[in-house]
Amino acid sequence: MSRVCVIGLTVFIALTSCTDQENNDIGIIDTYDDKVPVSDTRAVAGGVAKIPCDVDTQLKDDQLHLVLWYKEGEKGMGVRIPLTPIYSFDGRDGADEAAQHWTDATSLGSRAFFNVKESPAKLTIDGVKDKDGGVYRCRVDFRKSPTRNSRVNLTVIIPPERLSVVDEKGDHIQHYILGPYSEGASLDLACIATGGRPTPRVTWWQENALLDDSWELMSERRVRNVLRVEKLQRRHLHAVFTCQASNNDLVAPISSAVTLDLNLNPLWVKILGENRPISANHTQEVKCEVVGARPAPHIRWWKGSLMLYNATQQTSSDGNRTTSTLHYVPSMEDFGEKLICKATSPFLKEPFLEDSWTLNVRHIPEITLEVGKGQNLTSIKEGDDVHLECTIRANPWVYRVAWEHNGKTLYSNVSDGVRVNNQSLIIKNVSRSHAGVYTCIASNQEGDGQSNPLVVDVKFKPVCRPGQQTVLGAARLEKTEIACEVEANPLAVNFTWKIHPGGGGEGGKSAEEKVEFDVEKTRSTAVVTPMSVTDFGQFSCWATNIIGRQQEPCVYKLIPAGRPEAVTNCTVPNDETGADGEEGELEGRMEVGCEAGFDGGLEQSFQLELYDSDSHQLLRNLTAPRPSFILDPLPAADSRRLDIQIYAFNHKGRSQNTTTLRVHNSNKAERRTAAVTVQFMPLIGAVLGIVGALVLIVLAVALAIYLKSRESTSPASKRSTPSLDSLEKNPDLIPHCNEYQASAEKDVDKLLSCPETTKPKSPFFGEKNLEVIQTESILPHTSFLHADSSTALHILHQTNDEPGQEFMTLSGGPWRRPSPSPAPSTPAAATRF
Amino acid sequence: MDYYWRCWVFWHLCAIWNYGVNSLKLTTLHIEKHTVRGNNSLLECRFDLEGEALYSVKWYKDGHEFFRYIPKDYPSTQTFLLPGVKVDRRHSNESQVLLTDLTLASTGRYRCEVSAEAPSFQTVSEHGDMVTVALPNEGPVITGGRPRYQVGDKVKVNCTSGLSKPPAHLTWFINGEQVNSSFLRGPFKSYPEEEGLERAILGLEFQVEPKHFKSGDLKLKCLATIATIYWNSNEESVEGEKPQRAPVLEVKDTGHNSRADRVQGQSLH
Repeated sequence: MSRVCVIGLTVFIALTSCTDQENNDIGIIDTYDDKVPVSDTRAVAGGVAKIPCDVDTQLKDDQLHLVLWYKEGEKGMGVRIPLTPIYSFDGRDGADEAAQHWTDATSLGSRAFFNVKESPAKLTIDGVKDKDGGVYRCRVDFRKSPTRNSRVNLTVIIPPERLSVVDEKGDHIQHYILGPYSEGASLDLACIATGGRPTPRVTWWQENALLDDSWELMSERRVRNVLRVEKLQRRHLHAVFTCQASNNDLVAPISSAVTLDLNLNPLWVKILGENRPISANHTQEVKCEVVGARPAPHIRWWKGSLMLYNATQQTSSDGNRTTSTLHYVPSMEDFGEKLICKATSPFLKEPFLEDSWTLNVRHIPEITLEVGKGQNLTSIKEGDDVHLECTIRANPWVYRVAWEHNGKTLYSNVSDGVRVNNQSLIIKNVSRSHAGVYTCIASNQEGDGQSNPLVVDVKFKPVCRPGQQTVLGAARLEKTEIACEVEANPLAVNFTWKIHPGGGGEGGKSAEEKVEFDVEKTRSTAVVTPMSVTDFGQFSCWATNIIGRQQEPCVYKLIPAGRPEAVTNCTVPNDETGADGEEGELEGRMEVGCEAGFDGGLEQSFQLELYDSDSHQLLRNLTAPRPSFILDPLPAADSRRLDIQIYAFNHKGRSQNTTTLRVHNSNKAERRTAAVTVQFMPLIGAVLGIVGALVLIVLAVALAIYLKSRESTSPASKRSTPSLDSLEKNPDLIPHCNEYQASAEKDVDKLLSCPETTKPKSPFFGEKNLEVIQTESILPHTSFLHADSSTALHILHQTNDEPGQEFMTLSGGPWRRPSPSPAPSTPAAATRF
Repeated sequence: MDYYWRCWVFWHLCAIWNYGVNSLKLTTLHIEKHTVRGNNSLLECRFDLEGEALYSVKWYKDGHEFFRYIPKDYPSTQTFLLPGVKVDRRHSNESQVLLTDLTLASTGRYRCEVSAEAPSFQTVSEHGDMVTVALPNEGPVITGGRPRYQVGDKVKVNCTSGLSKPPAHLTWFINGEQVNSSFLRGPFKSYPEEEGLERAILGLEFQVEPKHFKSGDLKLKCLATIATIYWNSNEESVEGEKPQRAPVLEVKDTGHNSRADRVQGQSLH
C-alpha cells in the first residue's frame, strides 16, 4: 500500500498542476441539483464576496448545529469519492463562542469567515480570486428542523484592465486633447478596453448622455467601441467624450476622457460702421471684425486686387472676436473699388469669408485742359477759331466751372469772340491778345480743382513793338543806330527796310548804300552816319515771318540833332529888382525860372550851379527837367556874392552858353560882370523875336482849332492810314525852319546859316561857335519837337498846313494825345509808332 | 485527454491509499424506478466509512429532508413529513429507509447523503428517481370493429386503455405483428380525471388485404403497458366474408365475455 503511494506521490510531484484542480475535477459525484434553487451573487476579483446562507429556524427549542459549505465542481468523476466541505461551522456545542470554524486550507484558507450573526448569515471571502467563482452549497443542520440546503453561484468579475483611446489613424490621444479637427469633419474615435470578465461593455458618453453603446469583440481580451461623430460643429468645441468600460455595478467603471478641439470657420466677417462717402487723400480708419473663428484668423485687407498692409489686429481675450483696424488713404482712383476684409487662416478651408465696401471716394475735381479735337495747339494763328475742352473727373459732380486766362477770370464776351460754355471755351477769330495761359477751374463740395495750364500760342505776322523811339536825332557825321523792333510769332523774322531820304529826289537807293544793317532776332538795326541832309529822313522797316509780312511798317525819323540852346529870360521872382536887373539878392528861399531854349532835337534837362563869386567854390548843384529851380536859403555866414549858372543839356552835350546871375547874400546882388551882360543881351533879343512869332502862332492855332472842329467826325484810324501814304509820298519830313525853312531844306549848310544873328561874337566860343550857330538855327523846331509843348505842335500844324494832324502824330514821340481832342485815337494806331 | 487520464489514474491510486484509511465511500444506492401506488418500497444506501466516524445519514426527496440518522442524537433517527413519504422507522436505519403506502406524490428524486464527523465532514451523496404508478383497473378496450370484413374493406378501430397514471402505452398487433406506425392514429389522451388519471387512445386504420386472412381470421390485438410493471392486452378476431355468402359477424370478445387474454393484472416485479 505504501509503495503504491510512493509511486503515486512521484507521479503527483511530476504532475503538480493537478493539485490545483482538485476541487474542480474530482470529488464530485452529484451536482445536487434536486430542486434546490440556485441564487446568484457576484464579487469583483480582489474584493470581498459575501455568500448568503439562511441559518434561521422557525421552530422553538430548535438549535443550529452545523453549517457546511461545499463548493461544487464543474465536472463529476463518476467515482464515489467524498466531497469535503470548504468551510464548516460546528455549533453543536453552542452556536456562539463555542462554535468551531474550520476552513479547508487549500481553497479559502484564512480568507473566509462565516458570520452567523448577520441576517442572513454570510460566508465572507476576502481577496476574491478568479478561482473562487463557482456554485457554493450551504448545508444547515438543525437540531429539530429539516436540513436546509441552499446553493449560491458566485461569479467573480474581473474588471477591465485598461482603456486606450485612439483616433482614426490609430494614434493615441496626447494630453487627452483631441484634434484640432476642422469644422464639418467627421470624427472616428476608438476606445479599446483590454481585459475583464465578463466581457465589458464599452460605451461612449458626452456629459451624461450615452452616445454609443455598440461595442464589438476584437479578440478574447479586447473590446472596442468606435465613436463616430459626423460633421463636427461649433457646439462640439471642447466637448468631452468619455469612454467607459464596465462589466459590473459593484465597482466604478474605468473611463478615459478626451476633449475635442476644433478649428472653426468664422461666423461672420463684417466691416464695422457705415459705408459713407470718403474724401480722397484723407487718412481713413476702418475696422473689420471676425467673429467665431478658431484659432484667431488673420484679417487681410484688399483694395480691389491690391493688398493693404497698414492694419493692426486684436483678438478678444476669449479668442472669439478679432478686430482689424486699417488706416489707408483713399485716392480718387479708388472710386468704385472694393475694400475687402477677408478672414484667412491656414486652418480654414477656402473660400474665406469676407465683407466688402464699394468705395465712394469724393475728391477735388481733377481737370485736364486740352485743345479741341482736330485742332493743333502749335498752329493757331490770328483769325482762327480756338476750342478748348475741359475734361473733369469729380465726385460729387461739379457745380461750377470757371475759366481763367492769364490768371484772370474769363467770361463770355461776344464782341471779343469769347464764348464760355461750361466745359468748353470757344474763341472766335482769335487774336494775339488771346494768347497766354488758360486754366479751367471746377468746384465741388470737396474743393476747387484747377486744370493744367494750357498755353495758347497765337501766331501772328510781325508788328512794330510799341514804345520805341521813333524820332532819333543825329548830328551830321554822327553814327546813329536806328533799331527796328518787332513783335512776331514765331519770332523768326526777316526784315526789309525802306529809306525815304530827307533830301528827296534821289530816292532811297543812294541812302541805303550808306546804311549798314544788322539783324538780331526781332530787332534789326540800321546804322546811319548822316553825311548830308539827304541822309536824314524816314526809315521804314517791315518784318516777315512764316505767317506773313508785317502790315504796317515801323517808321523811324532820323532828324538832325545837337546840343540844346541856353536858357533865356531867367528871372528871380522874389527879387524886386530882378525885373529890370540881372542882379538879385538872395534872401531866404529863392525861385529861379528861365525859358527853355531849343532842345537840339533831343530831350533836354536843366542844370543850376551856385558858386561863391569870390572863391568859385560850388555851393549848390540842381538838376531839373524844366528850367525852374528853387534855392533854399544859404547860411547867414555865407553872406557874400554868389553866381548862379544855369544851362541846358541833352545826351549830345550841354548848351553852349551858360546864363549867369549874380546875387548877394542878404545884400543887394551885385551886378554881374560886363562879359556876362554882353552875352545875355543878344539872347534876349532873340527871345523877343520868338515871342513875336509865338503871338502869330497862337492866332494860327485858333484858326486850326476851328478848322479841326469841322472835320472832327472822321475817325482817327481813317486819318492815320492816309498819313502813312503821305509820309511815304512826302520825304520832306525834316523839320521846317519856320521862316528859314526854305533855305534850310536844301542844305544843312544853308540851314546852319539861318540864324546868322545868333552867331556869338565872343572869341570865347572858338571852334564851338559852329555848334552854337547850328543849335540856334534849329531853334524854331523847338516848338514842335519839344514834347511838352502842345501849343507848339498846333503851331506847326498850322504853319505846315500839310500833312496836318498826321504830321503832328509823327513828330510827337513820345506821342501825347492832344488832351481836348474829341476823336479817340485807338491804341492800335498809337502802337504802330 | 491524456492529462485527464493521468490525473484520473493518479487520484484513483491515491484515493485507494489516501482515503483507504479515512475516506468515506458510498457503496450502494438502490431506489426502485417504478413503484405501484399503495405498495411499499425500500430505499437502500450503503456506505463504507473507511475509518471515519459517521456524523449523519440524511435522506432527501426533491431536496427536502425526510429522514436522518445521526448516531450522536437521541433518538438517532428522525423523520420529517413530506407528501407521499411515509417512513416506517422500525425498518429504517443508517443504511435503509422503508417507505410505506406509496402514493402518486411519492414520485420524485431521492437522495442519500452520508457525512463523516468533524472536522472535515467529508460528505458523499447520490440520488435516484422513483416514479409511483397508479395502474389501470381495466384492460384496453377495442371499439369500432365489424364482425366481418371483405378484402378491400377499411378497418377503423380504436383501443382505449383504463384510467392510470401515467397513461398506459398502447400498441396494435395485426395477426401478432406490430403495426406500422403509418396505420396508427394517436395516441390521444383522455381528459385527466381525479388525481390526474388518464386514458390512452390509439386508433388503427387499414384496408383489408387477402394476406390478412392467410391463416384464417384476422386477429387485431391491442397491448397496454406501463413501464415494466403493467402489461395487459385485448384481441378481436374478424371473419373474412365471401361475396356470395351473407356476412356473419363473429365477435370473439363481446362485452365482458371477451376472449381477450388478460395477460397481466398487476405486477410487482
